[in-house]
Amino acid sequence: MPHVMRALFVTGLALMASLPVRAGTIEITDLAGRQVRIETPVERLVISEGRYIPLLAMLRPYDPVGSLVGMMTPLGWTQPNLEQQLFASFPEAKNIPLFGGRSEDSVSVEKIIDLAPQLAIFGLNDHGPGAKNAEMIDQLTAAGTQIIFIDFRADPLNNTLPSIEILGRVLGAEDRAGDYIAFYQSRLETIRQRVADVDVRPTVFLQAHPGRFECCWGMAEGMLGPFVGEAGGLNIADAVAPGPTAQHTAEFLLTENPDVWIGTASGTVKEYRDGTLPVALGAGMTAEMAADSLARYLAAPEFAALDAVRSDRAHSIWHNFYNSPFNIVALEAFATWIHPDLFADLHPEKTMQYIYDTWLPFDLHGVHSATVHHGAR
Amino acid sequence: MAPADLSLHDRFGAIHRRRLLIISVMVLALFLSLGLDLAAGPAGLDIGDIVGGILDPQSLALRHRIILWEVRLPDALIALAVGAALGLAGIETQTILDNPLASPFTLGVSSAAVLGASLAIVLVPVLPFLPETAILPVMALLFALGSGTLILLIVRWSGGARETVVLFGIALVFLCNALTAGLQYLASAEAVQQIVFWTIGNLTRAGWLEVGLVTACFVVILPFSLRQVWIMTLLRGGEAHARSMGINVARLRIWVILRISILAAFAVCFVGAIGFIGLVGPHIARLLLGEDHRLLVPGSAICGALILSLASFLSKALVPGVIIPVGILTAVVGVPVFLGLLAGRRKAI
Repeated sequence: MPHVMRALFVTGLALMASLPVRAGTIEITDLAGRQVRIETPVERLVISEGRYIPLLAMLRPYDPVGSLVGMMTPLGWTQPNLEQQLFASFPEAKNIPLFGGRSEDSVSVEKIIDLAPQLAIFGLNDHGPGAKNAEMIDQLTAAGTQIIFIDFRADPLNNTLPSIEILGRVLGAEDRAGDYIAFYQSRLETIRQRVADVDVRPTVFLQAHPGRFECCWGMAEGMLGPFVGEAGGLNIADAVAPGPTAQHTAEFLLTENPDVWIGTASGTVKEYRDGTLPVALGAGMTAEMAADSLARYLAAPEFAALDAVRSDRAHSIWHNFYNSPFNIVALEAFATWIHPDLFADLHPEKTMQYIYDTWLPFDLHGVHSATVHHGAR
Repeated sequence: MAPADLSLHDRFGAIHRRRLLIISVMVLALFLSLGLDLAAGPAGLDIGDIVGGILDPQSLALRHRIILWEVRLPDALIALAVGAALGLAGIETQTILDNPLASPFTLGVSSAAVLGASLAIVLVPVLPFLPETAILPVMALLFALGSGTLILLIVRWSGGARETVVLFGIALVFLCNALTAGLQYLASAEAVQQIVFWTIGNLTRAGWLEVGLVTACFVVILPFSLRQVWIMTLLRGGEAHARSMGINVARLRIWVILRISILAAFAVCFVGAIGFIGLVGPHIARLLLGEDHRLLVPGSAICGALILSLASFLSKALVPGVIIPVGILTAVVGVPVFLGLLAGRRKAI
């Protein structure tokens, strides 16, 4: 969207925002199954991970960090480029206090209480305080802070939309949340309907952090693992993994010889430029660089021998989709890779662009999926 | 013929022959375990395929060739090399420090290696002339050798007093662990996970270069150890006794600790801190072979290799298709054997 258009759009939304928000009490059942009563409007809010800021921005594009008085980790931890855009458009975001380091045990409850939030939004199992942290929940509740748990990570297929709906109600942005949910559901429904008629489910191996973790951590029941089945594939890790993720030998991969290989790329453009191994996607990466980064990793003999690699059915997907309200893009990508003929009309990169253009006050940089091409290197 | 009827010379000969027999059985067990380890895995390769594939790699289809030559063989051989190196380093540590609780890790070598690896994971340093994949093991190796050098300086400074060495080693362990924990506190969640995986120890990260380096290290150091087996046996009679026989114990301690540091550093830098073998491998060998270091030194290396090889087999066989890191299994394999032998000895007494 051109910048002038964006400015008008943002101004318009800001005008709408200046209208008085109705005060009241809402009742919410959060993703941990807890009943929470919240006084609206919420004027002081903390979140666990900075990566929920895009979600706040989606619901309140004119003022993504308004009423945000603290967070555990900054957005820059996972998306430095997006953080720069945030700082450029909303300089006040630079001054949001942090109340922890990078894990649950680094959180200072005292600091949170000192920030006096009405509401704390934590993830069911992100890197911040979890729903089992009874002591912290009690302490914060006693100090007058309500807590709600959302989730895009433990069970993204089932929890993404309820999480967005809850946040929409809390922030008084039910309409925007509703719009996005309708969009998400229509895309999901398209995939579900077509997959229902699929006879043959191609086998898929979904590998976490290729190049960062040693070979070969598979996602089975956890995180993006269930997306494989939803997209009409058969996740080969499901049959053997004792938990949500497990380490498999290269031999397992070579023996199962999956039809499709997908790696969740957590590398950055800097790592790509330094020539390091982690497969890279995201801001700063062009389609050519992304394909090259993937080919570099898959050149190892144990991968080069896989049919998926030899037949150009090896792909990378942006790792951050594993904890993101925009994970529908990953599902579309999986669908086009697992059933290319059935989903020839889907364009995941365009979907991502559409989400940014429609709901976010930021520009989309870089590519978020890639495919290995023989002769790319 | 009752033993009482034999002369002392004959009785010693009988004991020695029995111990040689035991060591032969251990070698046989080692070969069996290697075979078992090579045969384990989800690909349906039978013994014929494996032997044929080793003799003539081209006889196998591409994927099976890669499974045998790039996955199974390096993993199985690094188990032998690392196990043997830790077993050898273990027996030398226990004897030179006259301490049954000592192991190469008591000297801080593995904690330092973990610290070096953690630094490599968290800070991702770029070292000149080194490919990215080599930085982690090189940092681990440098830190492990660095801790060895510190220990050697302490030995020299303290005149070789063994309590000082042990206490300093333990202090070094705590310091390195604290620094690693500090790094983890600063690191990203992915990096913390990487450090945890690395610390547990896993053989799958080794390739042929790693197998070659650890084996070479072991082969170079073993003759030096074998040259001193008599002196080391003498040392088991007590430090004062050895001194009275004209042995310069302080000087000996420096040489032995140098060997231990190099062995342990190379053993852990590629596969991670695989504990326990350097501690219990020598004890199992001692229960089977007695105190004579002529047999105990090679026996301890064989024991170490055997435990790690069996653990490597189990790490693949317990949950087919999934790897259970071998560091989790070494104690699971070693402790029952160890307890069995202890119980047997109690009965014999």
